[in-house]
Amino acid sequence: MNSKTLTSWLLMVGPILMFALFALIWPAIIGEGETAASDVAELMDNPQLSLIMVALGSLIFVGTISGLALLAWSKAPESGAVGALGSLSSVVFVGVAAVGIAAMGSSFGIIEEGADNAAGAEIISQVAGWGLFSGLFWFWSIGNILLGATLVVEKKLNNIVSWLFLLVGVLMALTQIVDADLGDIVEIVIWISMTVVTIAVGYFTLKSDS
Amino acid sequence: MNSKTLSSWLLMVGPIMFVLVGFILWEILIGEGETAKESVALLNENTTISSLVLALGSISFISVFVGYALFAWGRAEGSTTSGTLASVASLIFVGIIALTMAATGSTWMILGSEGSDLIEAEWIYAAGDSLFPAAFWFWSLGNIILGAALFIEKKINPIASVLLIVAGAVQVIMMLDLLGDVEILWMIGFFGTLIAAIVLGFFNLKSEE
Repeated sequence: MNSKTLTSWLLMVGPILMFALFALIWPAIIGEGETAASDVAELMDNPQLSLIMVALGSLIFVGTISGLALLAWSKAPESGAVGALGSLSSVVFVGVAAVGIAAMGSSFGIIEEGADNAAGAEIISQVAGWGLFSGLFWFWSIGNILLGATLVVEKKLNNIVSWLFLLVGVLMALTQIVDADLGDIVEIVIWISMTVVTIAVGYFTLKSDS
Repeated sequence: MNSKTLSSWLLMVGPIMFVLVGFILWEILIGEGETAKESVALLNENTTISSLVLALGSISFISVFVGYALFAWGRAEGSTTSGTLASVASLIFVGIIALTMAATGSTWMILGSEGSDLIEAEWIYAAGDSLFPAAFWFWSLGNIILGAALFIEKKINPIASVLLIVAGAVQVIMMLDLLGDVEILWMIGFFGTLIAAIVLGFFNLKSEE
């Protein structure tokens, strides 16, 4: 196994597992968590199951972001714009991985605190959990734009996939900065697009000669 | 001094300093509160002492992960399995550095809080404190991945790599609560992780690379 193989598989498997876990399995087994209070109540319904789900979720999430960081990192030694954009996006993705570690990992703190202090656990859920996720999605979209631009300029990966990756990054950024209620459907479409295009980048990276 | 020497000493001294400052000195000079409210009150009893202990504690704790990250980074390269695993481990440890900076750094906001600020200070304390289990979870994963990298690489004494994997695995079992809330197992997992870091630092310093 080398870095290219690991990166490719993280990018192909990570987004699928992420969608399966967070869009399908988590709401079915744990719940939707509409508010901080319901989030804590759902996690405390079955703490053992929640611990396992949090552990799995954090692994999948950080694994996917690590795949993006490793891909960006592999472009950093290149000369010119590719190296500059690759370096910049790798720094952004390392930061996103760090925030992901904090945001996902804080659920361990929620479960620990929720055993005897529900109010404290709700504060953690609101501040350390949801508070951090907002920043995470913003910088994830910035990382995708930078990495997408790297791939477009480099011209080594499939050209359409590179442009689509960049476009999805822009759409993700717009959902953060445009103050409009886009509705669940639009958000799910963007999420699925991000999932598909990341898998495609993983696939073409695996097939590439570099 | 080169990167190997620095990472070795950080791995050897960091965990010892962390236990001395984070557990012994903190307990003697500040005290451990049962709730966020009590902890905030204790931290504000003498803000100068709290600042000093907090500064020392945060440097000690973060230096352990700086040691790990430097060590893993030095082995990160894309063409081998061990190098690839070391790349992933270095990413995880850099992430933990950022996380522990946020967790320990947020405590500065609490110092000197009074009146209506106290409620916010308690929230900040609770949120910051909740990040530590996250650090321990990813620390255990980082240990397993780095241990596997070193085991495959075979350049460092295998005691170090096996200890990292075992300590990481024990901590995963603890984090997932698979054996129940047994305090002695928590102690073994926690101190085993610290000892694994010290042993890694020692064998890295003694290695001929």
